[in-house]
Amino acid sequence: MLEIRNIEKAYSVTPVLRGLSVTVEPGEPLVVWGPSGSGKTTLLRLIAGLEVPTTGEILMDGQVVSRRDWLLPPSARQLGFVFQSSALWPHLTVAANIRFALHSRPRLEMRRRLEELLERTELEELAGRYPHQISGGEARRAALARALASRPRYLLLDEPLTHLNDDLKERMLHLIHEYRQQSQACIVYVTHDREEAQTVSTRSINLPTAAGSR
Amino acid sequence: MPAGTEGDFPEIAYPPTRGIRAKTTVRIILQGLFVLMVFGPFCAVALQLLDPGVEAGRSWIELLLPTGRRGQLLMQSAGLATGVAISTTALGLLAALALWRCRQGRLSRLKWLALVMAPIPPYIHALAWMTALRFLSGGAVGAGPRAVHGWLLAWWVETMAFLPIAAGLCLLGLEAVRPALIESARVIRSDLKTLGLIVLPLAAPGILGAFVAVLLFSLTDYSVPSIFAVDVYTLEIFAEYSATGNAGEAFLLAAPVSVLAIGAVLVSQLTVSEAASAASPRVLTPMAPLSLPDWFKLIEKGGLFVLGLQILVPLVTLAAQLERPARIFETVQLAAGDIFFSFYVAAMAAVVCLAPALGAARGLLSARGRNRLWWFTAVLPLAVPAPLIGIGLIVIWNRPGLAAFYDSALMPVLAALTRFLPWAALVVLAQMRRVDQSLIEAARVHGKGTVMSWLRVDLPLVAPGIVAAAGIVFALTLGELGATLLVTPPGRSTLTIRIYNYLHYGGSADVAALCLVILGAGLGAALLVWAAMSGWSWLARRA
Repeated sequence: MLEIRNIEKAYSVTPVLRGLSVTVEPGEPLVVWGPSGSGKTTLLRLIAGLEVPTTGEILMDGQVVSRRDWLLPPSARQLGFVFQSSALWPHLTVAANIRFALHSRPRLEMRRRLEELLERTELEELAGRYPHQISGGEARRAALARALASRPRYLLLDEPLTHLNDDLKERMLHLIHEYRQQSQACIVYVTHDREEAQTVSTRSINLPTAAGSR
Repeated sequence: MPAGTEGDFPEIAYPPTRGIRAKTTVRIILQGLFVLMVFGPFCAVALQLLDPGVEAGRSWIELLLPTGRRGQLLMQSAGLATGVAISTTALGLLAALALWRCRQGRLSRLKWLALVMAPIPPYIHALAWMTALRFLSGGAVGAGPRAVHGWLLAWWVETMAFLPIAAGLCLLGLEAVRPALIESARVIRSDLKTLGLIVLPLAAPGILGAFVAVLLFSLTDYSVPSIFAVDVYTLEIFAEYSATGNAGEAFLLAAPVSVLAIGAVLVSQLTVSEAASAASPRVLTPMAPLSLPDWFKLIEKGGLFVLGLQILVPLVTLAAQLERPARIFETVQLAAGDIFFSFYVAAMAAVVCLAPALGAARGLLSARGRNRLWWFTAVLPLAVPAPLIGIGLIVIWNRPGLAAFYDSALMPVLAALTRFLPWAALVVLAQMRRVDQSLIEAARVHGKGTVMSWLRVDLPLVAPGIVAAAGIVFALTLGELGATLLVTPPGRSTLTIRIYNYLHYGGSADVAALCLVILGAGLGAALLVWAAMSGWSWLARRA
């Protein structure tokens, strides 16, 4: 379970998130939507431990993982994260990008998982290509495959379906739903598209610009 | 043809406007000027091979192939340069990592000040470390270590001298890594693994660029080795030319070391171009600092400590040698002519380099993919040994009817331009890469004309790079010795020549005072570069 308790984040004197409290149950996706600059990405970065909250705390399975004076390292949080910019490492191929997240698995299992993910994200043909050799939509799918690779308990998705056509969007949404059902992971899904938000989950929070207390 | 296909939009070849034609012409002229300036002296020396005097002395093969003593000298020079490049890059990378991790807070902006000694000539470091060692060994260092530990001292002093350059290039490489790429690894692997598997490979162009730059500097520099009584190959070229006056022979003698340097340039061509290209528009995303193990932080601090040493040792030893502060004013008065001449030459070189550097940078900006010829053209001159440039200038200008030019300040200015124009072009290019191209395109759409758009938009956006290039060329020219020593007009002397001549007799209050003058000017130039770049960052944040 993921608990966010009265979290606040400010850059210098500019508040981005103010007094946000929310709980995400296992297997129950939470959609965060709102306009640009409302703090959606900042919320995901706080959950991932990439930023320190100004006040408040974040708990995973009842343990405090983020506080002003304490941060559990991001790699110890069992996370999968699809970044807004895909963030594929340019010096690694698509396959190597995904394999990076499978480091602790036995070789055979690693290969099977890689093949499975490449097939599910329809990237088999592009496994040996570098990020600059694939399109924006293909990069999004590779980023999603990387995020799912280690079967994370917490899945953070920052606008994961941008650059995808409607057919692919549907298939990738199906993949995310299937993963949720199998793993009972806590999923936080960020989008600025209200329609997409409704498709993903019935549970959502809306962050208005310069977030106020909710 | 069905509607909505490509066939509906036939390609239209728009005729170039008068403004675009004028701009292209100016660019070609500036690029031609660049090529002429950086390759002119080299080609002039090469043409001397046609002189029958070369054959009359020794055979081409004998001169070209470094056998016997020269072979050993070449191996030793290459060994010294490689050793210096390895130690400098390793220490520079550690220091750069420590500085790079200071990403937030006001202090993060001051981190570039740790590199202020970058423009200080190596022989000032040599003087400082000689003095420090003499002090540490109770005054007995003088001739002893120079004779016994010459190579070791030369290696250490060159490492100290080139450390800020290596640290700066490594830091640029690290800064160019997009924070999102680091963060996406941090959620999967430990911070140490992220550093090793993601950050360092992505910063590799900067790190390799640092290695090659130091290798070239060390291979083509003879000032430090000669102070420590160490014979290097570049000094051999200078000595041979001084003895025989035969430029063709000097060219053949320089060939082996030039081949080594050109090899390094070719290998690094890709990495240097990527390092300059990597300075893309950067968003400073705040990021929780990487948490690295204590043992690693300790090693990092070691690198930072050595970086601090190369700032403190010259400052403290020179100040101590000065005896009293008033001495600096007395020496400045005595050497006023040399100081004025040096500043004049450096300022002229800094101003004149800008136009050809702009033209060359523009060419480099569009040289992508397989079109690497212009890259090769622009970077290759870095591999030419300094004495060869001086000899080339003598060959070109030492002719009847050109005495008015040959005996003027033009010669050291040209020597500086030949040596440092490629660096100026790379600095301007780095700034061009930082500019969002859509700003330029918007100016073309909304601007009133090509020239006005260039003046009102392009030029101000590239201005920090221009200021930085001028500052770097000014500081480098002020400390240039290898080519200046050969071409300074009779009856004139630069600060560097005066210091270099004094240095062979050991340090003194006069040398210390002159070094402090050059140090102050170098620091001033470094601060100018820093202010230009900080000003740009401030402007970029507002955009």
